[in-house]
Amino acid sequence: MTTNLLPPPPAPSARTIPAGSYSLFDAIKAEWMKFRTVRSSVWCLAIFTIIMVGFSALFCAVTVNQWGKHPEDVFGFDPLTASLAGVTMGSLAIGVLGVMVVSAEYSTGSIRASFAAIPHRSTVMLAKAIVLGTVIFVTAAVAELIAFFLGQAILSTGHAATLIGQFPATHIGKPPTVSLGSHGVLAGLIATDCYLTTLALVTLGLGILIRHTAGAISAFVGVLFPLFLIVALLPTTFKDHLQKFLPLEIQQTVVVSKPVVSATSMSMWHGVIAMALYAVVLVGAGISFAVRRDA
Amino acid sequence: MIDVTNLTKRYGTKVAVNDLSFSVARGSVTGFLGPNGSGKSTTMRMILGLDHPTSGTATIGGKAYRDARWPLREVGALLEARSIHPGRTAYNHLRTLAVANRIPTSRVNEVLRLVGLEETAKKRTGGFSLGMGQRLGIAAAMLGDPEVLLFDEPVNGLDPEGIVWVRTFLRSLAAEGRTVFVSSHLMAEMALTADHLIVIGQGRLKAAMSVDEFISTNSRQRVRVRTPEVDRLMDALSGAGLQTEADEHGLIVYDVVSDRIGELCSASNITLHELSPMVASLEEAFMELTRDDVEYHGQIEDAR
Repeated sequence: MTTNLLPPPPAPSARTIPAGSYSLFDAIKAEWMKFRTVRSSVWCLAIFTIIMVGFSALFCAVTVNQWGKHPEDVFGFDPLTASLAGVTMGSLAIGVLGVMVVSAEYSTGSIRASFAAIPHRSTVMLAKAIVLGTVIFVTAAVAELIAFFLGQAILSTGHAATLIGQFPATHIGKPPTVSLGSHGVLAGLIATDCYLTTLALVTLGLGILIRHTAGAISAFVGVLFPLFLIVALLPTTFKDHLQKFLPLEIQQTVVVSKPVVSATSMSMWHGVIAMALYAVVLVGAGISFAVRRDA
Repeated sequence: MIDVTNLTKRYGTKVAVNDLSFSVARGSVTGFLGPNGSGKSTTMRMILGLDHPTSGTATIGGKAYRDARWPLREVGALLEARSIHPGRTAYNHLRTLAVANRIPTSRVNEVLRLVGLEETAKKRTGGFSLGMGQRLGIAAAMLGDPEVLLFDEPVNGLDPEGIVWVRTFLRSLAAEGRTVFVSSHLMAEMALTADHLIVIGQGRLKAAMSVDEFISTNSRQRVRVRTPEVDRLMDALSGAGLQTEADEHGLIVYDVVSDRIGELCSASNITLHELSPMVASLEEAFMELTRDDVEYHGQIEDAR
């Protein structure tokens, strides 16, 4: 047996145990480091930003090109909504990220390392929610602003048009644009940012509850899309009551500069509050499950 | 340092750990021995608060793991090799753990050097071999320089050089006065590494004793003798001061070589039908102890 394989005695550098104990702050620092040291999170954020900017450019360019050809595209046209056309698709990237932040840890077993370092699981999960929420809020704000300015710039290149096929022919002018200072624009941008942030937290809650990446993403996509279709098939009396609570329907009332006036939908801020409640309920349920179950 | 009291874990109707009680002393290596599926990993996870016991308690230094102020500075653990995100580098994996317990980043480099992973520290762990994964797990356990260490099957997947390294490493940790609790399903490995043994089978405590005790009780020289003249042989053997014990086939004589019995019989004119030395290895003794408890008879052991 070779004795030269004997390792040097462990250095006592960390031996002096500091006073106090770990805190939520330490958990947040650890979660932030975890978040930025895997590629998937960076990828999801990049894809989200590309979708937001790309859809804005595409949608606004098509609007400019088709301006005046279809009356239904002209009446009720909201320049803010046009430049935020990527929100629906972008939600998917954010949802995948929200799920993966926690499901990847469960599927790789690294959640055990996390809980060994911070045995209070509610602290770990709360830190994840804070880091994810902050990252999405900031990223969405940046992506929205780029999409907004690019979209408005493209819309401003439009030409005045006369609605064809109408009698008498109506002159509708150039495609309208808005600036940050225009009425309702800042509110719409902030509400959209809140919507995307709460959506990320909803998916985080799903990830904590379901643990499996594929399962949680399916649940998220299933909640976002098919539920919308199912409710749409219900008799009107039920539909009118239920539809307004669906995330996609809330999105319709949030990503706007002119308030949607409809008896069956929520107002912008009620929609944001509803999303926040969903997030609180799902993350809360997730934490209580995570605490009780074996890791 | 580690106290397990009436620990029980049920999964539905299956009992993984059954009313298990033992304690692990500091300053020595305690081997936690049992066949696959005997509840070693479950017990270790319960000690670390990862799995919740159905009943009973597990404490480290008198308190539950979840009440540790700086868990990684108090207790280090190597769990299954793959408790690591494959997309993160070894260096970043250790840094995320260090940050959580305010361990200086310089310590990350120290433990990487300790386990010989400096060269691969900046590579993503997805490409790591089982042995490298084990080394990274050991580095993570040592990160907070803790007094108490738990290692679940640390030599799994290691090459012979790595096995010797782990053995010497565990012994040096115990020599520094730390508490070292290490699980294995290999008796021979534990005989070389551990000072004390806790043997379990199907979640139940089978034995708790020092390795020396285990070896002396289980590796005594024994000789089996069959003869039609049992009484005369017993007189002859006890006259020579030898200890005997009757079994269904004949007599077992302890602490003697077969030559000596042959000579005694020849001198007393005793007819012999059989004279066979019995050599039991530690591995056999361990298998004997847990024979009824092996869950997966004849199956190829699963690579973790």
